[in-house]
Amino acid sequence: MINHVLGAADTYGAALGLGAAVCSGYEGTKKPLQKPYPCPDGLMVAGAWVYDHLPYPLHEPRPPTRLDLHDMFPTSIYNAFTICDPRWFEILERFKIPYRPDVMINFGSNSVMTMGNAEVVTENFLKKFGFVFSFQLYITEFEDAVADIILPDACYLERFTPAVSFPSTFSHPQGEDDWGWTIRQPVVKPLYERRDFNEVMLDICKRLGISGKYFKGLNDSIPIRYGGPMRPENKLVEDGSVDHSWEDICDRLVRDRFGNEHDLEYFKKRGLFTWPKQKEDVYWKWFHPVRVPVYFEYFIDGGEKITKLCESFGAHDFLDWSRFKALPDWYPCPTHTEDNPEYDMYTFYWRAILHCNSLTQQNPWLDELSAEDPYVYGLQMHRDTAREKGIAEGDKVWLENPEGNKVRGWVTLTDGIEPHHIAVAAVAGHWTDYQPIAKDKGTFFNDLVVMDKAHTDPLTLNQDICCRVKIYKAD
Amino acid sequence: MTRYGMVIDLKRCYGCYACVMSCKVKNHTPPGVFWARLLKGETGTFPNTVRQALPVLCFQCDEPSCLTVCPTGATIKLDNGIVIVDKDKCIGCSYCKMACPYGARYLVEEWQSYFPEGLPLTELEVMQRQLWEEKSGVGVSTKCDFCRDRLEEGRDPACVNACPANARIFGDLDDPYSEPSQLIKKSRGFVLHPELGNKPRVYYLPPR
Repeated sequence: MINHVLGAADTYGAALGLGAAVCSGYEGTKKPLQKPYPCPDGLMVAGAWVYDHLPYPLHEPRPPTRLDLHDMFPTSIYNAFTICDPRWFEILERFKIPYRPDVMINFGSNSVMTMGNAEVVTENFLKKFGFVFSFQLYITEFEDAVADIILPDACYLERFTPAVSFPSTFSHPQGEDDWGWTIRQPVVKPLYERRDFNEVMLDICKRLGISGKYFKGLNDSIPIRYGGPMRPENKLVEDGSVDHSWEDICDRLVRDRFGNEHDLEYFKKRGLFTWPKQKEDVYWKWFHPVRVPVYFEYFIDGGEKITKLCESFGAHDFLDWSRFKALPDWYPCPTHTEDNPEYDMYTFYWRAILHCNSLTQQNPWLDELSAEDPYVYGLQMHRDTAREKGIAEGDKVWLENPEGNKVRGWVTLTDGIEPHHIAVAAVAGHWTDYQPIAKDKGTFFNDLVVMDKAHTDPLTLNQDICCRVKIYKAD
Repeated sequence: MTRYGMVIDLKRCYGCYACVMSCKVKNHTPPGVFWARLLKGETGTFPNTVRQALPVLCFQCDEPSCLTVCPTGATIKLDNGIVIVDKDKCIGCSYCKMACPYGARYLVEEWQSYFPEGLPLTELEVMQRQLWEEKSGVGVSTKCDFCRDRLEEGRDPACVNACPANARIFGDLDDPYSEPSQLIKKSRGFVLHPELGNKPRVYYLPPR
């Protein structure tokens, strides 16, 4: 923030942010093109964004149509407290949502483990769907719990992904290095009966007679996610008269971004296309006089609008509206107001460098390295605190939160942690028999995450993911 | 004559395991065998604690203990500085494993699967086992050889190639102007346990 106040961000001689806000595009096509521009007040409107609405300006809160009521919440990108509430359907009724969950399509995620307390997520949310089918590489706890049909997905080494480094800013080359667009492509044919989920979706849409709608959805998403509209000749035909294959779709996307000479065949041979980065891309703040907000006066306005909207549904107390302020503030979450001295430890989750969410736990090589690492599978605890509690290195323990949820693990002692904290790495602690490598390794932290309104930040609708616990030896 | 060696810059290493993984992938080492390893430790007390990663491998010593104890001549010091094992001469006596002060030797007595007992080997494991037995094998001593086959193709060892922080610098330590030689000279390069007299060819640059 100090850099922004001083004007020392993203310009010459200043600190450069992670991921450039500006991309002038490849010279031949001027794509992918993303540039911020000022709103009438001079505040920055992002040129591209990875989520379904921009961070600024806030969209108008609308009477909800979605099952998670997300249309109402302009300051958040995700919420779980509505859909995981045991009275979810009562909430839907209150907000006059006329339909109920019916079919869920799951694409390679394991939301039983990645959202919060597994039982709450499963019972209150996932089991409310009438029919669930899931594309998955391994059978996970999600398929075990709720999937009616499992469709074996192809691994990323068995299928095409036409855009890897866009749109996520995390994957952009930093500094003055060239821009790069990479694809993934199959290096082997899919094993067994696995099929690329993209091809299966095309098949399903064709059988349902909705291919045109599906192609329209792809056409609509490309300009937002990949920097600019498609040329008419490259657009997918939306009347359903053409059977576009997945390879054809990939080909159209890369040709549209980089010209006909850089088609999918070009990418198959090289995998990567690079083009020079402009100084306007690297030091973009100098060339785009926009203000990056350091206070958020528009939150006040947004909060007032949501309040009125909720009042119109008789739900004036749905959230704590006082949080919609212009200046950042700190409010203690229940973890910080717990007054039972028995729960004297704070626990939190951190991302181990070896793992990405919950999927990589089943990789034998990553599992082997995790077992070598002193911190990945153990609960890290300060050695002095452990000594006071009669806990030794390697002891099996329970962590239990005030709500009575508990998780099991073993202790690894360290000096590198605050004495009242316990650190838990990765989304570990799998229990399905279908993941024999991952099963019973590490600790399933998310079972301690409470999925209710009290543990949700009203502004971002994020769950509180620090937890107060007591620790005691397991038998 | 080129005599290979390596420098590992501990300021740059952040313990990501890319070296360990690339070694496993390239050399098809079975479960529990790490020709490249990563040790992690701590110094200081909270709140002034520092965690440090220490990558280790066979140091290709100039005075290798493993060579002198080998009863069959299976351990050989090549002219290019690399210490190798002739698997056809090795009888798996483990003398070398006991003699190496750096724990760089492995003896695989029985091929094990990564998966629980009772499950058949996966296709990848079958391929991995075949490749391992071509190069090293079961019942013989094994160790890092600086990816000798890659060097013959003019490529760096897999661990050097994989390091995202460029913490590993590989080259000719007999050339005083090579990058690793210059780094050792300018940045106070050191070896682990010089008092043992093995004269390792893998040097470290101090973490701070």
